Amino acid sequence: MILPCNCPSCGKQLKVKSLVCESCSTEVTGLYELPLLARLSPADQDFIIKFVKSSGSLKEMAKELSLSYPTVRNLLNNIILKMTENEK
Amino acid sequence: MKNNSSIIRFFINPFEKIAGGNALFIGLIMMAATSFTGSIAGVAFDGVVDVHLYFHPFLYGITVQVVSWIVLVLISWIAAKAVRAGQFRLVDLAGTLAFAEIPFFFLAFTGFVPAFRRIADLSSINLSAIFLFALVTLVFIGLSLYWMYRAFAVSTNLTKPVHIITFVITLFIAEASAFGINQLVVKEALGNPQKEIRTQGPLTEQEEKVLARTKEITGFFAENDINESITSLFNDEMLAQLPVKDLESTWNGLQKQFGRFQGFEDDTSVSTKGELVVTETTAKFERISFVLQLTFDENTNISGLHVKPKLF
Repeated sequence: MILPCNCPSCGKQLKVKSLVCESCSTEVTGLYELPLLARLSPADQDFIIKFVKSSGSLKEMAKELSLSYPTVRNLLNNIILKMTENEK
Repeated sequence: MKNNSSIIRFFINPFEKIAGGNALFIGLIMMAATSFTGSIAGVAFDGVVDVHLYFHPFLYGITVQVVSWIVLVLISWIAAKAVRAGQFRLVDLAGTLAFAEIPFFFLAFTGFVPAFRRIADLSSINLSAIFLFALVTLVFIGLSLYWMYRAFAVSTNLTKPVHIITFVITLFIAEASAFGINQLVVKEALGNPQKEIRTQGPLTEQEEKVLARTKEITGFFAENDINESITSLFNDEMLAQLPVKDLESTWNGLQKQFGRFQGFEDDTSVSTKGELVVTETTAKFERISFVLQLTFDENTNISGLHVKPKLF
């Protein structure tokens, strides 16, 4: 199951209301912000996973994704921009 | 189906797949191939988006094309820095902009089409050929311009609509700068292939004849005596397009617009292009100087008469 990050009705960012321990069924409720990375789209999260796995080499990423170097770098720049906005 | 869509995607934005050193290598090879073909076919790419039909040596062709490309890269780099683009590599900008000139290679072949060649030689004014040449040029220059924009956008990540304006301004400045450098520096250093002035060496018999006829004609113009003696030297096609009445009204129109005719300078140049001989003489009016260009066919009859502003 993929964690939904945005409201299916209005599109705004979702927040966490409750968390459950599968072992003892303890439930924690409140209103928690999603972690910074979880607030990104699944495609952006996938990009970051690949980026980390390739030791942060954009050249490796470009090869793996069959894209040009500036295209990959632009994708990364756009993710950085989104993360900076989310941090605010 | 998938193949088709990837080809279309490649045409829409080739730089999603190729950039940097690879694009630079392919771009430079294609630039050399374009200049080589252009030097044989008589097509010069002497500006950022300029295509002109005239014969020239390969060295001249490659120099003007490379100079124009370098100017475009530098101005684009300055523009991207000025609008505070993030970090980007110069090799991506240079490579993608070189790759964006590939459509020019196909334009180089237009010089082999006889109907287009005749437009360049000024030996006939065929409106259908002019229209077709303009259309073909527009398609390939259009594709090159679009690729140049994609090259700029991908390399610098300046992809917002407002950055299209940045690119257009960049293009205008680059075009003007490249034109200036090619006119004032390259043509000065390598010689101007459009104007092969024969001041030295013996003239051919045909050139001697043409020079004498040019003197005869300029004499009539100098005396403001526009009569059938001039048009009798026209070939049939030319005579049909410019009878003496029209020639007289054109000449009077020039004087009305640019002041009284002052006289011709003693600077007639003569050049042979295939079977055609072209002479150029500076005509001074009160407010501006023009170049009177006369094209003579193989029978020493005038097949073209053009008056163009003297720029340099």
